Amino acid sequence: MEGHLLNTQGAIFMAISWGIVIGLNIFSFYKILYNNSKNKDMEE
Amino acid sequence: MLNQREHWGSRIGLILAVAGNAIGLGNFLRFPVQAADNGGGAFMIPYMISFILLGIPLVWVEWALGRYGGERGHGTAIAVFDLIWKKPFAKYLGILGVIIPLVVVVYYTYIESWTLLYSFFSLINKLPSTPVSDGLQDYLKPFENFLASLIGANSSSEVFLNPPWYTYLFFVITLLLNLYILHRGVSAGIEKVAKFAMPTIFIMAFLLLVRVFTLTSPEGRNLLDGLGFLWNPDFSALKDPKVWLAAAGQIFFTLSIGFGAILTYASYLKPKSDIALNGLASASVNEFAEVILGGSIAITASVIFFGIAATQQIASQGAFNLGFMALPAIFANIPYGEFFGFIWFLLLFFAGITSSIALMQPAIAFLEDELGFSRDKAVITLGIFLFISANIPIFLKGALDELDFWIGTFSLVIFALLETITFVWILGSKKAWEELNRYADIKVPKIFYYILTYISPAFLIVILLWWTFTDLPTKLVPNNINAWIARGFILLTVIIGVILVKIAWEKKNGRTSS
Repeated sequence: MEGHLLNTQGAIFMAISWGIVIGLNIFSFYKILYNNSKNKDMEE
Repeated sequence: MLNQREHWGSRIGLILAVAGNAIGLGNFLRFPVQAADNGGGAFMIPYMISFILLGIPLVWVEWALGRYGGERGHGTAIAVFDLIWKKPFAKYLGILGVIIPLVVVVYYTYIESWTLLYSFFSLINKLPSTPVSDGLQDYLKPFENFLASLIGANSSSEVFLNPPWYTYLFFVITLLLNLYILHRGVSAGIEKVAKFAMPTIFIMAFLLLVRVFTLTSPEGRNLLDGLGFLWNPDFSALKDPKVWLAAAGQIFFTLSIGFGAILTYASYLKPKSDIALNGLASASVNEFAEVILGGSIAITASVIFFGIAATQQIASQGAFNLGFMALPAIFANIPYGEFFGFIWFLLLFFAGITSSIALMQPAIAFLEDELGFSRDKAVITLGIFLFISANIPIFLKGALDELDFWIGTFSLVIFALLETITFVWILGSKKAWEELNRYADIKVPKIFYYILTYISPAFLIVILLWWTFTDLPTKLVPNNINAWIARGFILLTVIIGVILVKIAWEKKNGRTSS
């Protein structure tokens, strides 16, 4: 059967795409947790 | 006087519910097929550009319109358009924000019920199996026959489908489950389900990911073949406008833009809630499910098991073939395959139900907010409508595709354009920008002001024109009676919607109370 292994360019595209998505998640949930704790401090 | 409306119990529950609305069958089936067909890794360039220029801005538009309406006691585009336009006709344009999700859910719930049925049949080991030595066509034949018998497509009739009793039973169970969740309400029903279903989807997807990544074929193919097929870039594809439109279309579908469901969910925000960060977070969760999990399971497994040429052949016949034929065929030939089949279809079912409840909620919100129905009365009314209407896609050949084209594809772009025009141009771009940034927990970069005002609407107009000139002519004159029945059903739903809106506004002396 034919072969079509992941090449360097494919690996770079995959890494960048995964990186952007994971980065977006980390950024947004960090901000949410940061704001939650800030709001809690203000309430106290 | 403001109606006493429900609110989300927690911020994380809200984000998971909105992400659950967006995460559906498309994340796991449509995305990998689109990417592999349109340049592999290179597809991610127009995909990410569309995410920034179209996806994020339109998600914010729906969130902002929803909060705007919720603060004034309304949860659908009908009232929100009326409030912003201040013109009598505007509320009738807003009907699309209730009709689109309502008609989509008529057939979506039915497809969702197949995933529950497949999941159950996997668990009791009743899905077909074939020896791995057979050729691809012979190998997939039992699975093709199984799907055809399940939906009753193997009958000799040109007009009718003849599904067996258990297909109908699973549809009724699925519909009742949806209605029960809605009957429980926004916080105790939708939010609770999202808090359970979303982590479960991710756990099941990770289990499948690990299993797929450790698959090898007798010919020696492994995950590097599968990932290579999806990610190795073909830069020549970038010169093709179709690839750019496919990427924009995928972003559109995956984020559930243009349905009106995000708008309704956002209307249940507590006072002084952020929308900028909530919108970004829910879109990010959806992208995780799509790019990382969706891109790694179905097509990777298919390439490892069947090879590239066969996977291209399967994918060219539609994303459903990949999920409902190729995957069960693979699971039938690996150790503990029935367990992995069970969690694959349960994952699709959970992804489906978190979307279908979101699609049903705009109709519930309309009945409660504008016609003063109690929640129970609204849920029963919706249940009767769906139970009767679903017989069209269940029993009429071709009706499902017809409904999906006109409502699930074409109308989405029209409604998204209407939402953008309402928010940015009718409310005014400066006011819209203030609205987006009100109580915001992040500073939205100023460039999005220009993207929202000019680029996103232009992008939508290009997509609309492209589809109008390429897809529409082939669909205008159908060659079967069922397509006309499906169109008649859409028209009837619109007429009922217009009458109900007229009645609701006459009760309120022709204006939206706020």
